[in-house]
Amino acid sequence: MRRLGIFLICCAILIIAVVLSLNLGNFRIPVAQVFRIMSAKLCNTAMPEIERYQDVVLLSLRLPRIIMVLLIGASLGVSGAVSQGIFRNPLVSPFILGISSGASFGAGVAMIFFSGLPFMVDLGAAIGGFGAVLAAFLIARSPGGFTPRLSLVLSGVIVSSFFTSMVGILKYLADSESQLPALTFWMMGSFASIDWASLNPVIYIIPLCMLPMVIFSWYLNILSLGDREAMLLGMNVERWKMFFIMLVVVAIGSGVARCGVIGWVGLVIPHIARAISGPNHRDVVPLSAFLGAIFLLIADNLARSATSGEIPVGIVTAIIGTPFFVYFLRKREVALWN
Amino acid sequence: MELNRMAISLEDLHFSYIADQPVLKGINLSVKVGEKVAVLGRNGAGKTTLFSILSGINHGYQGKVTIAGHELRQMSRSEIAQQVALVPQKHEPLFPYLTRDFIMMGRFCSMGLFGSPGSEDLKIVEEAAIETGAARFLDRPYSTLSGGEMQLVLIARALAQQSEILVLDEPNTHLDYRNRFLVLDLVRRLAEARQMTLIMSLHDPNDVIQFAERVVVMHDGRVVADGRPAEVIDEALLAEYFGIRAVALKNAAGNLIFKAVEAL
Repeated sequence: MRRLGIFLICCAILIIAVVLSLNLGNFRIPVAQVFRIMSAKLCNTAMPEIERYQDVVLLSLRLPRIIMVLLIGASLGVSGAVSQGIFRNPLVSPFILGISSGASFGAGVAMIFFSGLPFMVDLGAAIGGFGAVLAAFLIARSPGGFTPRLSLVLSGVIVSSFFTSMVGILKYLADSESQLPALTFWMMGSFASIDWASLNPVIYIIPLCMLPMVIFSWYLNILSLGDREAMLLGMNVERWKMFFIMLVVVAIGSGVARCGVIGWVGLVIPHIARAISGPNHRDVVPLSAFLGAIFLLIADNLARSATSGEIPVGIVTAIIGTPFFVYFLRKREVALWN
Repeated sequence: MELNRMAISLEDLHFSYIADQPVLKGINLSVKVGEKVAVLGRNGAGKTTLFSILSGINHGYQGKVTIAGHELRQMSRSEIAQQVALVPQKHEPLFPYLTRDFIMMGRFCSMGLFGSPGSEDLKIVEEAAIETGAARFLDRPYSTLSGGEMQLVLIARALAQQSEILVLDEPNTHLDYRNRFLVLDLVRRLAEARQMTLIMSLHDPNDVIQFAERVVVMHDGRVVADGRPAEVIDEALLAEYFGIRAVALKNAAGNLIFKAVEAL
């Protein structure tokens, strides 16, 4: 019952947030008009009386952007919850583990050297992200096979800053006329240039990665007990860890390939989800998808409406996310530091 | 019940973590279904390593391990967990799962690929909680439980695996005087009620005499004594393998009790 209640509340908040996002912006469209244009489009009837380009702004600019924001927000939330479960560490997220910066380096390499081939950016991002998480994990791992929680955070920071500087080298190598502007713009982490075409292939990849993570979310409870106990309970730990890491890497990579690096969502959202639903991953993972989507949508609305220009959304998520995280860090009496 | 069916059989079992530093040096051991065996030995004798092999965690062993008639190497992790449930020495909680959810994790080995806990599993969990006395805190986060309560929950999780063999690695080491007795008494009663084979490592010879019907003494990676506790454990054995001078006393009921008097 409680589960259903939370689900319905999430759906309601999500719908309200989407409608408000369609209405908001430098070019405001009244909510009633939003409904009229959307229903006309959906029912394939004649467009209502509209002012200058309202339908174009709504359907070609705002709608694809909102869909992209929802997809990426959900994937960040789910990936954060999954990472914290498999690494048995509430201090990690794809961003902290270096997956995001590894993916941005991989995507950058693909943009510069393989720009002609389709989907190379997505593939490059996935490979870069996988390399980064592997490196972070191996650096943090002590000889006995035990991975101290804070070491993993630290090695993630190391890997992350390594890949960030590698991206700097890429910028240096890039052709300043044809490649550098695109690279720089993309790296700011923004949804400003999203249209229907750029939703492909993200709109397939992210749901395809999230679905198995939600279906098998119960397995994360077992994995979160640690390798040894998960084995005792009959789990093939290596296989399932790899399964979840691959899904996280591909989901995060395809998001990074389109919209750049957006931090803090994956770290903060699972903590909020656990505060609402309790720690069972069966609830935390799907709830993190909803909360991640809602959170990023709000952040993106602030990014594009707070000033007359546009702030990169990654800055907004960091400004909202860091105090939240400090709060959870101080409140929770979990043994985080050993 | 087939009295002579073997639950576990080990043939010439060798194991080392580091090359040339063997931890187990040729163990031969057979445990019948329903036996209650205590493994006694000093720290580093190889007890925990032996249990890790039995529960499928340490692979690189030499020799033959047979569990309920199956060669261990040919069993999948979930097949092993369906046969052998191991209660770890200590569990460090991270996420504060409800005790109910925590015990439910014992059901993992019996679920299919797309399986998730159903009403049948819930019934098994509740039964296990009632039998161990953990039912009264089923809806509390298990991270808030005391050491003794936590041990009951870990035993309940092992029961939820519905295995035939229950292995306990020093089940009462971290517990207070009352809980030490409570846990061993509970485990003995459970093993009898469910006709499970019980293998537990213990440190106190008096516990062994009181709660086990067979003792296997390990020393330096070998089995050095094996038999009925009251017959096997004596002053000479405690002196030789445990470095302790102990005196044997008899209580009013005529049971043997050892009192350590000097470290040798």
